[in-house]
Order: sequence, then structure tokens, then C-alpha cells
Amino acid sequence: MRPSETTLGGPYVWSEAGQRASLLVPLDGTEQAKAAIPVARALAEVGGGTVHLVHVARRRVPVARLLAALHVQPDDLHDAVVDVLSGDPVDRILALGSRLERPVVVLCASAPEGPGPVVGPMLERASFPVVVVKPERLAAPWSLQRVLLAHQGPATAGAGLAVAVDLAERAGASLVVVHVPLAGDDTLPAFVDQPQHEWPFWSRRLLERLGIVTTEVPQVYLATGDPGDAVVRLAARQEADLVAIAGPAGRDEVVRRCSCPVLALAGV
Amino acid sequence: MESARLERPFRVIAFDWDGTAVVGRKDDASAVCKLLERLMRRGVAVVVITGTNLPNITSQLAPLIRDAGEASRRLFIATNRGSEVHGFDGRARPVPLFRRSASPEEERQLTAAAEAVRERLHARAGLTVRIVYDRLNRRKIDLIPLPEWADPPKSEIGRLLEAVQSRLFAAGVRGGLQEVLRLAEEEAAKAGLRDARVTSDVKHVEIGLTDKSDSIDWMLREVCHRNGVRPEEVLLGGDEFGPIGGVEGSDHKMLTPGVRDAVVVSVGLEPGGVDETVIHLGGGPARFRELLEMLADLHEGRWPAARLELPIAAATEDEGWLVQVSGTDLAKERELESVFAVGNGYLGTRAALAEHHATASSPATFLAGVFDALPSSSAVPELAVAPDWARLKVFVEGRELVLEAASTLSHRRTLDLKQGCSWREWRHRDPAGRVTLLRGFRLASLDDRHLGLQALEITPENWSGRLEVDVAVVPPSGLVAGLPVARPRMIFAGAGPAEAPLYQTAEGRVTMAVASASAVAGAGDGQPVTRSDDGTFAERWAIEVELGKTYRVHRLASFATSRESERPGTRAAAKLEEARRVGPKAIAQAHVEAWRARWEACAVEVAGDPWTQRALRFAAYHLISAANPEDDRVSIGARTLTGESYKGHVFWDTDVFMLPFFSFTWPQAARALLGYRYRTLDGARRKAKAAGYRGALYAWESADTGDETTPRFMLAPDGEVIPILSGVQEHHISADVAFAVWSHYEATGDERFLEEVGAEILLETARFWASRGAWGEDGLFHLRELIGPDEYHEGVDDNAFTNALARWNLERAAEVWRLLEQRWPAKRRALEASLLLGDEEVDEWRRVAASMALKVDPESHLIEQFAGYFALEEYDLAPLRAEGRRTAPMDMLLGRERTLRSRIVKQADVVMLLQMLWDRFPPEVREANFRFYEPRTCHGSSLSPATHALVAARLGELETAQAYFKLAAEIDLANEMGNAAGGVHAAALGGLWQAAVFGFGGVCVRGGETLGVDPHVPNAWRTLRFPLQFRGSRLVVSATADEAEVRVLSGPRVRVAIGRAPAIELGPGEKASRPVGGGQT
Repeated sequence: MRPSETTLGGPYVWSEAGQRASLLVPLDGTEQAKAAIPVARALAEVGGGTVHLVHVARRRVPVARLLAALHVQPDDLHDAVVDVLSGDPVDRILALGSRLERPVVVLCASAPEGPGPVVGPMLERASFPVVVVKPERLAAPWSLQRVLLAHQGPATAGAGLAVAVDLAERAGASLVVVHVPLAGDDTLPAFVDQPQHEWPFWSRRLLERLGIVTTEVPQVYLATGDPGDAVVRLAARQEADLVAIAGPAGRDEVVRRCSCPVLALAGV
Repeated sequence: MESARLERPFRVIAFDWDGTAVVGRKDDASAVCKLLERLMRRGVAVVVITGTNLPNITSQLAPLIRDAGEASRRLFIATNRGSEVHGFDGRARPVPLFRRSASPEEERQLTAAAEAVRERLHARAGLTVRIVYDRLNRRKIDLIPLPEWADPPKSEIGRLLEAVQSRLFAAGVRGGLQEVLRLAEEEAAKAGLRDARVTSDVKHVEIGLTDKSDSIDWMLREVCHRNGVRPEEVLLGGDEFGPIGGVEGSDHKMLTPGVRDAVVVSVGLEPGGVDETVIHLGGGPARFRELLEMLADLHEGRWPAARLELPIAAATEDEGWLVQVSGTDLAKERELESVFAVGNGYLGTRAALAEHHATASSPATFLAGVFDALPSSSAVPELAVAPDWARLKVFVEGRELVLEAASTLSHRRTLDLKQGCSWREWRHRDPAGRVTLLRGFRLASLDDRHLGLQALEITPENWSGRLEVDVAVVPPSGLVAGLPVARPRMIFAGAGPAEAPLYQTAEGRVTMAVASASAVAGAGDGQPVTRSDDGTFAERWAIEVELGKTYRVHRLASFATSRESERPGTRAAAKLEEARRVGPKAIAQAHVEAWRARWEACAVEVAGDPWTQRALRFAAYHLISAANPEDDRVSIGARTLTGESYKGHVFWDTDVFMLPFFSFTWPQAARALLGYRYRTLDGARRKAKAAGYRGALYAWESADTGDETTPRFMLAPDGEVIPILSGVQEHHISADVAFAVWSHYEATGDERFLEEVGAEILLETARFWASRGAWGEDGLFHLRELIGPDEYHEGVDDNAFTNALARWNLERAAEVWRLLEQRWPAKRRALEASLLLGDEEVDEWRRVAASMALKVDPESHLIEQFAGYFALEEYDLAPLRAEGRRTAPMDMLLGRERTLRSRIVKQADVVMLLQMLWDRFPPEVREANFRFYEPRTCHGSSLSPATHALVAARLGELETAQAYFKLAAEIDLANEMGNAAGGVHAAALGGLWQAAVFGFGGVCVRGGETLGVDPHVPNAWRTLRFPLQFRGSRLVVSATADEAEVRVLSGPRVRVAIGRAPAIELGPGEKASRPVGGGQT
């Protein structure tokens, strides 16, 4: 055995005293884009935050005219900030996020079959959480009761994971942790003599290693086979309201196929 | 070590008076009298042995005789050099108990002899000596009747000797004192004294009828024997045991054969040294008083050892006996707690941080056989967690010392394999800069399995001030490692030292009692403040400490349960009191001695590979810690008593992987483990019957009753609820138990075991197999719907391992049926009646065995793992191995269904079969199957690598064998995957020993009664050496790459076959060596 000095990880939280999350909702004038608003509002309520309705146009336009063009209802504006920017949408939104406290982008996948031209680059480049909402949600109300957290080993753990855990705790939502093993994953046990005994034990050890400390002990699952497919199936079976995915493996498939909002944490 | 021998509650203390208890007759003896009084009041018998008469010493003993009251009945004064003994009546009046009176003829003979010596000395050179006549039964010849040597003190013995010898030499007595003694013996014989006692205190030579040996004989007869005092409970004190001037010291006469086992101590100068049976303390009467005070403290429960060093002074120096980890890696804390756990087969305690850590630590103590269940209809019995007896917190100026990186200057854990204890050294700096060093150990006594001992020394390195120590017993929280565990509840808070607190399992079937007491050296006369709430009992010591001084804490804990006592509370309390009397040092010494004996019987030595050497010791350490030869109602769970994982359940791990270690090194422990299988036979019968079979089908997971305790369902990693089929289909367990029975019989030759225990197991398991299968249209007997050792493949038909072991089981049962008829007809008749078994059924077993479906392909020599295995999808594990994963739980990676369809083997299955029934298969079959299955095995089970190491070694593939050996050894020691947190992998540890002894050592039993030794020793190991017990004999096997030697140490003659040479017989003291190496074992 070799001496080492590692310690258990500490928590990272959604917002702290004196700070609130900034939920950036890009709106492009389509009805589908507004599907992100109920999700952002719910997240702001749960975690404490301010919703920013963000429009990026080629040229700056007056806000009042913009709102009319976007078909934003007065209720949508309650306690919200409207940001009108010009330039490349992804660049501008990321730049805005970098100036705000604890930014979270909540946006709608522009096409049912995939992330779309904004969402894709956003997922690749954002260094803060990105929530992708399905367009077919439209304005349906959304609440957070079950979070499915898919992580890909300690390499992807850390602050992003803590965001999802903290959010679930704040919402009083149950948390389900899905371990997505990757090549070279040293989290998996080398031996599972009798799974009925090893699995509960290993699950608990995994949570400890990830620093996940919650009021209720989360159920832990393992994504076997194709990671994206396994997470999508589990999310459906668990009727998750939010899938939080830490790590890139299978993320695009999860974003494409999951019916519930997906919180991507890869860049956090 | 010497102090440990002395720190015992002696029941009789016998000692010489002059020079030992007092310097001289004029000394004030009140101090020693007070100490003797304390001892006598605690029931100790005191025997004063002196050469002088009673009046000469009663003035010194007067305070004792006067003040002891009734206790003076335990005072005996043996006077006149063995001729008289006096007792007391409780009212300070002496009572003569024994007197040897010389007859007038003897008186005359004594005088004649003494005078003849005087005349001869005078005649030779005019030497003047003086005879003292007025002594009972003896005459004293004063060799130096000079005023300056009238009454020499004992401290002047050296000068006295010089003066006497000079005087004798000057007078021409060239042989000095020795010559005078010879003269005295000659003259005594001439005078007609047939058993004269000639002694010397240097100044005198005495011719008498008695000596101190008569006092000792009287003491043994009248004090010890009458009161049931064993010689080892006697302390003999003196100051002249060794030779002086070439003659025996005056106290040497006390060393009679009857007191060979007594503890003998000398406080004299002993210029000629003492033999090894005598503890030479020196220091004279002052040192003797210190000794008496320590013993008085001991009897009064004041733990004198606390004044001395730690009960075990230090960890073993040789690092080959140590497993060490430094640092404060809290993330690995649970693994370390398992690896560094202590145990003795009755109790096991994880090496949790004594001060506790709420999130990182899982403190737990387990008592073998104490099972409980969570309150749920689907819950299965699980090992209950007993109260944590090792909780110990230290506070410096009111601030608790907590393990954290920031305040820790250094932190090291050491598992001392040799001495069987777990050390911890921690240097802590608090925010105020106070540096405190803590060093100590804990152990579960291997000598007295109901005892635990914890010791800690605390040194304030740069501060003085207030130190508080909280020594507590804390009930379990109900969570271990965050998982719910069955939690006993407290039902009785205890009644002081008479009865310990009681905890009852939730099911109410077992009651546990834990008693604990602590002592702190340096606390002066202070006593701890005790508190008791919510089942927690704590003693808090508060002391003012000084910079640089070391303070020591000792805690003893005793355990008892309703499994072994109707009143566990009383028993635990009594055990604790006894332990307090005995003292921590003696307890620790007995523990270390018990470990020494075990190591002598089992230590495998590997020269040239320290890592392997340590790994093998680590394996043996945990196996020894898990076994209890005194209790055949318990077995060893998969994670022993080191962790809660596997719930303490017993698997085939014990019978196949661990048992051989015990059969060949500790047969009594092996016998107890098989006794458990015998005692749970009814549970096995119930399981067979419930499944529609006959005979005995052992539980895949067994707890206290032998009923099946495998959970029926589990929430699979992919979120699906799936049935657990091992309890339903993994039936090879019955053959595994039968295999263990027969293997133990072959290894030990224990016929009584076979008759009383083994036979019934073999018969009932065979009966099960005959009912388990069915005849096929092909004329073969098939076993269907099975799980073999490879548990990735469920519901398979004709698993080769199962079928082969079942056939073997049936054959052995038929054989034992014949043996019963030949050797134990009464037992056979009893079994015929109780099992309703007859020859016809046994004949059917023979037919079944002969027709069991089991094929070896004649061309490829391959054995198909089960029907249809060869048709499964190939899966290449090579890329995984290229990634560095030498093992992988492929069902977790690929999913259950995919694994089921593939040829991936979870663990040695056919390879396991080769290991167990090696001689049943020709060399080409062994080799072909190892080569085929080894690349397809992912080793998803910790049982697999050691088996592969063993088989590869026997095949002579040493590089492969060593790689697997290392893999097996690293399972707990490298701890890279974190699943040692729930306990050590006992089967892998047993497998490691087998790989060394049966694999590299090439040991096997041939033809039932011959020990085969055909080693394959890697060059890097230089030599492999290990002790074995085989059929009642103790042997040592030594092997190099080229040669093997077997030496018989003791026991009956045994047949041994070394290498490929014919078998020979060897008896005690004989050895044989032969060239070895190359080819298969």
C-alpha cells in the first residue's frame, strides 16, 4: 500500500449567500424557444436565481419591439431581465454568461431530432451548466421531482456533479446516480464476487468517492453497453424530470433522445 | 518480557527472608510487612523461608502478624532451614504446623560430622573454625569466626566470599569453599547420615537433616495442593540462586522439580549469574518491595502495568512482518479499517479510528455466530454489529484531537502480523501549536478470545497542561459505511463490576455483553468520571500533564453472549475482573505467545522476494484471525470478521479456499469449521427437501442455522429487479463441502472425525446428487439447470465442475459406506437406521457416478464447461487487458444478457476442477484446458487469480503463475478497487496460501496416505520453506528450483513422495531430499 494524501471532495453549490444563479434563456422568436422559459423559471425558484431572456440579433432592436416580436407574455417577464445582444449567438451568450454570477444557459433544442446549430456549439464550448429543453414541451409547466445524474467516473466529477446534487437537494427531489463506465475507468470494482452483496456496497463507496452527500441516499445504477442509450432508457424508466450528465460520452444522444430537460455539466 | 512474567496474580508468594525481604535482622521491616498484609488480605498465601529460628524473625514480622488479623492465617514461616513451619491463628498467635525432630542418634551424627570437618581443617593447616551447635537439626561451621565478619550483610557477599576464600587458600585448602563442602559431605556420610543436607551461605558450611527444599515440599503439599494452587501460580523470591564461589547459592535448594513451572525471581547480586529459569532483577530488598507493591496493586485492581511500558513495547522490527500505511487518506479509510482489523475467530474489530470520524470511518466489532436481521420481510440474517469497544478520544486543553490533514504532522498505521496487533502512531499539532504524539495498539486476544486490549501512550511534546481521555463503549449507529445494518438494542444498563451491560439483537435471539475498564498511568490516584447514556458508557480521565513526559492509557474489554453463557452479563464482568487482575502485560504476552505458536505452525518463508513473503504472512494473519477451534457452531464468512459486507454469510469460500490452510497447519480449527457443516446438516436437509430432492443440499449462503440465506432478488446495476439464482442453482456447494470433508480426512488421518462427522455429510450429500439429476436417453446421468463457479452462465446443463465433483462425491460416499462396515459397524448401523440408508441405494450411487455426463474431447482434450458452451459467442478480452485491466466484472461492463451469451468466464470453473481433482486428469488434459479457458476468464471474482496461479505453477508455467499470484496478493494489499472496505477477501487469502504450498510447493495427497511434494519454485524466490501437519506428524518442506527436502519434526512415520521419486517413509528427525523441477506436478 502506498501512502497518499487525497481527501473526500467538498461540495459545490448552485448558489451561495449573496449570489444567485443567472439563468440565460436564449429566445429566437420561435414558439419552441419559449419552451425553455418554464424550466428556467422553475430552476430559478428552486435554486434561487434570476432569469435572463436573451435575444441575439444581427442588429440591436428596442426591447419593447423585440418582446412583441418574440410573443413573450407579461408573466414571462415577471422578475426577469431582458438582454438584447448583437453578433454571433453562441459567442454573445457565452460572453454574457461569463459576466454574470453563476450562469446557467437554459435553451431549447431547435429541432426535435437533434441539438441544432446553437445548442451543439453551446454544449461544446460552455464552461458553465447548459440545460437543453425539448421544443415539444412548449409552455407546459415543469417541476423538479426526480433528477437522474449520469457521471463518467471521478475524472468527470467535481463541481458540475455538485451543481446537480445541490439542485436536487434544494428541490427536495430524489436523486438517481448513473455510473457510465468508460475505458480505463478505475472506479469499477476489479471483482464482483457476488453482486447481491457487492453492488450495494460499491454503490455507497462510489457516492463517497464522488462526494455526494444527500439527505436521502441516492439509488445508484450502472449504464452497461452504449452509454447514451443506457442513460436514455434509465431516464425513461425512472421518469426523470431532469437528466444531469457529467462528461461527454453519450451526451449528444441523451440530448437528442431524452424527453425531459438535460443538464449538461461537461464544461463545469 | 520479564516484567510480563511477573505481572500475574500469583496465589502463593514464597521467599527467603534475609537479603531478599530485609537487608539484615535489625532492619525495620514494617514496609515489607504492610505490602505482605495487602497481599494476604487479597487471598495470597505468603510463605517466608529462612534458615534461622522463629524468634529471630518474629520481631521483624511483628507488624504483619499483629495487623493482618484473619488474613494472618495465610502467613506461613518456614524456619530452621526446612525443619519447621509455623502458621498463625488469626489472633497473632503462632501455630506449629510442621517440625522435623532429630533423633538422639542423628544429633550425634551431626555433631560428629561437623567436628570431623573442623578437625580435618585444623589438622591440615591449623585453620580455626567454629561450630554453632544450637541449631535445630543442623550444625553450622563458621569458616571465618572473626569479629569483623560476625554478622556480614548480604550486600557484602562479594567481599565476604573473597575473605573466606583467602582464608581457606592461606590455610592450604586449595579447593576453597567447594572443598570444605566436599569434606562436609564425606564426613556426614562417614557419620552415618544417609540424606545429609550440606549447604553454605559463604560464611558457614552447614550439615543438616533438612534444607529449604523441605520447606518448598511442605508448601507444595500443604498450601498449594490443598488449595488447588498450580505451580505456575507460585512466585519464588530469593537472593542467592546462582553459584557463589563455585557452590550453589543458599536459595538454590528451593528450586525443586515441583516448582519447575513457578516464576522464580532473584533480587540478589548473583555474582556468578543465574540460570535461565530465574529472573534476575537485582536491587535487593528495595526491589523486592517494589515487586510486592506491584503485585499488591495488581490484586487490588490498580493495574500496575500502567506504570511500566506499553503491554507490547513496540511493533516487530522486521518489516517483513509489517503492513504499513502513512498519511491521512480519509477516502481510503474504510479499506484500511478492514486490512488492519484485528480478530481471533470469536471477535473481530475493524481498525477504525479510535476517535471516530463521522463520514469516513466504519467502526464495527463482530462476534462470530451472532446474527440478526433488519426488520423487513425480505431481510436475510446478517452478522450483527456489536458495540464499539475501542472508542477513545483525546482532548488537549479541551480541544478534541481529530484526524485531518491540516493538523496532522504524521500518521502511520502498522499491522503487526507477527504479534497480531494493529498499531497507530499519530503526531498532531493543534491550532495553538501544541504538538502531541500518540502511539498505541489494539488487539483481540488469541489466547483468551473473549478479551480485547487497547493501549495508547500520549506524549505532549511541547506543552504542559490539561489532558483528557475519553474511553467509551458506543453502541452501533445502525449504519455501517452508510448502509443500514441490524442494530442490537440495549436491554440492561449493567450493574457495576458485577454485571456488564446487555445488548439484544433486534430479533431477540442473542444477547451480547460488553464490559470495559480503563486505566491511565500518570493520573495519580485519580479516578475517571463515568457517564452512561443511550447505551454509551464512557470513562473520562482528566490529568495535568508535563511537557516531554509520556502518559499511558490501557483499556480492557471483555465479551460474552447468550450463545455460550446463560448469564452473559455476569460472565463478561467476571472475565473483565479476571483480566484486570492478570493485567494487560500478561494478557498481551499470552496473546503474542499464541501468535508465535501459530506462526511456527504455518509461516511460509520465501527467500528473495520480500513482497511475496509479506503477502503470504498477511494472508495467514487474516485466516488465523478468523478461526476459532473452540467453537464448531460457527464458520468463517466471506469477509471474515473484518467487515459487514456479505453479511457474515458462509460460502464455498470456506470449504474449498480456506479449509486446506487449516487442515495442514491448524487441524483443530479445520475440525471446528467442518463441525459447523455437520451442525448445519439439518438446514441442508431442509433445503433439499424444499426443492424436491433428498439428502443434503447446503445453503449457497449460510448463517447460523444452515438454512438458505441468499437474497432472492436484487436491484441490478441497470435498475432492473432480478432474481438471484445462486441460492437456487449453485448446487456444487454440497459437493464442495463433501470435498472438504474428505480432504481434511486425508490430510489429518483423523478417523474419529470421519466416523463422527464426515461420514454422515458424505452420505447425505451423495444422496442429494442421486436425486438431483436424471438419466438421459443417451444412458448418461445429467444434472440440469445449474450454475457452476462461473456465475455469468445461469441455468446451464451438465456444468463440468458440478458433474465431476458430484461424481466424486458419490464415489467417496460409497467408499465411506464400505469403511463404516469395516471399521465402525456400530456407526454404520446407526446411520442405516437414522438415514434409512441401505446397500441398494449406495449401489445406485455407484451406477450414477459411473454414468455421470462428463466428457473430455479425445482430440482437443477439452472439457466443455457446460452443454452448449462451445457454441457461444467469442469475446476477446485481450483489448481490455491491453488497457491494463487484468480483471473486470464483465457483467457490469457488458450487461447481464450479453455476458450470458458469450464465452466469457467469470472465474476459474474448469480450471478450478483441474485444481481440485488434479490426479483425475492426464497432463495433456490439464494443459489443454488451462490454455483454452485462461484467456477467456475475466476474473470477475476474487476467487479466480489464486486458482490460476496454483494451476499455472503446477503446469510449470511460472511466469504466468507469478503474475496471477501477484494479482491475488494485491486484492486487499494493493486495494486499488476499493472493495476491501466491506472486509478482506478471505477466500483469496486462503487461495494465496494454496497457490504457494499446493502450487509452487507442489504439495498434494497421493493415494490417500502419501504426501506428494513436487515443487516448481521460481528462481527469484531462491527458496520456499513451509511447515505442515500431515496425518499427525509435523513436517517442514524446503525447496529450491532444483531440489526439495522434507524433514519430519515429530509424530508418527509418514509416507512422502518427493518429485517423481518413489514414496518413502520418514520418521521424527529424519529427512529426505530429491531433485525436482520441470514438467507438471
